[in-house]
Amino acid sequence: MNRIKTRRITAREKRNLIIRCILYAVIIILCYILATSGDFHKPLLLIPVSLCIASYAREHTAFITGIICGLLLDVVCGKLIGFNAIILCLMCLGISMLYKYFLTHRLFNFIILAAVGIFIQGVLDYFFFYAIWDYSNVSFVFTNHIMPCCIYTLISALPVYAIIHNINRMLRPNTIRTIEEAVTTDEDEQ
Amino acid sequence: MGDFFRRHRFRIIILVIALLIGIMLYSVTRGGRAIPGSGIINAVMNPLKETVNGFSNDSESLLSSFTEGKNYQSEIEKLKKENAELKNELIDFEDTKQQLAELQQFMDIKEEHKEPTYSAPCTIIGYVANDPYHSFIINKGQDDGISIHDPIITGEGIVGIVSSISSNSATVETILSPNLSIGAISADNKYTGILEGEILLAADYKCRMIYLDRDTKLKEGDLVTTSSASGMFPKGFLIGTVESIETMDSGLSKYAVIDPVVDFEAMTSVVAIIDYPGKGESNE
Repeated sequence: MNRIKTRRITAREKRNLIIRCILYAVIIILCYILATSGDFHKPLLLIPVSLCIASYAREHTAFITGIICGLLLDVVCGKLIGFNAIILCLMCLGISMLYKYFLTHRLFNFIILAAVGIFIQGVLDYFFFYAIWDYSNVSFVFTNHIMPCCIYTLISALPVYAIIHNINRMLRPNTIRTIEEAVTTDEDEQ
Repeated sequence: MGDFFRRHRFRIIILVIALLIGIMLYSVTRGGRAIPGSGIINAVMNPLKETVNGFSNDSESLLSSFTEGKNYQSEIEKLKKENAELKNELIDFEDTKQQLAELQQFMDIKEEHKEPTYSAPCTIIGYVANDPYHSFIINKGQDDGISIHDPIITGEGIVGIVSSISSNSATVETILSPNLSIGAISADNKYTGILEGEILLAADYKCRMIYLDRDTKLKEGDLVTTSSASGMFPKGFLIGTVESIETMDSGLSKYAVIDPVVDFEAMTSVVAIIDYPGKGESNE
């Protein structure tokens, strides 16, 4: 049986893909550096960044993004290497599949998913690194460190979404095109 | 969607997750030493971190100079240094007095005294994100002679210990952390205890000295220094002053709330003690 041939990637799409990857890398590095500067409560930007990239990516790309951001988050937060990597790679994989099969790219959808993801990461962090060690007044860490951090991270998800959404709007191949757009683009490429 | 779970890519994902769990277990067995390859990441990232953190510190200092007044701030800094020097002199005085009494009793005992070896000054290049105990990262590591659990100090007093290390950077866990237990003694050498962090106190940059007798005479304003009991710190380094004496929840002993002499918020560089008499030995 003949298989349907997939569309060949044009030079312009290839260039856009490379630019997109470079921009993602720059954003991730910036988030990593910002997270280590200053001894005060800061949003963990790597979480919304990885989730937002995952929402636009295929499963395996989302999974790899989750691992990279998770490993960087482990270094930034001084946690056991691999802890956040496992959490984020699974979250990114889930988000990528949700967007592929069920969801559309809307701010509301992303904020809900980001809130769930950030809260899960915060609770797991609290449980494994504070609660099970039975320190005195351990709930103080949850109310005064974990929760403010989650709220800041969720607020920061808004500009993160705006940046990554715009990168994708400008540089991603438009899969849903009108006949006029398709004809115009193909003519331009020829 | 069901296709995804049947494809070989799903098996690869399962394998990668297993690998990550393996890395996690491996890093546990490393006991704070960085996993191979992290040195390369640090070599690339450290200069960037240093620049951004320097910018952050400068901005903070600029803002505070507007709000508090530059002269006022420099005056405080000067007084703080003078205060720390005087406190150190007081400890020396107490130590000398104690030594003199001991020497008078045991004329035939010769005390061997070896000076600690210090590292080159280490710059703080970043902070552990949202850490309740204010841990930070320095720009020196194993290549500079620093090893895991080395004590970290400033000119004012003790700061903490190296909790994880790579070839060119190290993470310092402060004395505000409940994970650290350091032998402590009052400056007059009368009252001993264990210095440890506590979550509520760490929020105000304070820690506590536990296991004090119920009838302890330690009082507000008394100086506390390190003892060699835990083997983690050399003897005689200033920790802080007693702020108050409280009773433990059990009611069996008391603890002293300690206000460290080190200003954790204003610190920009520290020094590691890479060797000292009694390193790694514990009297307990």
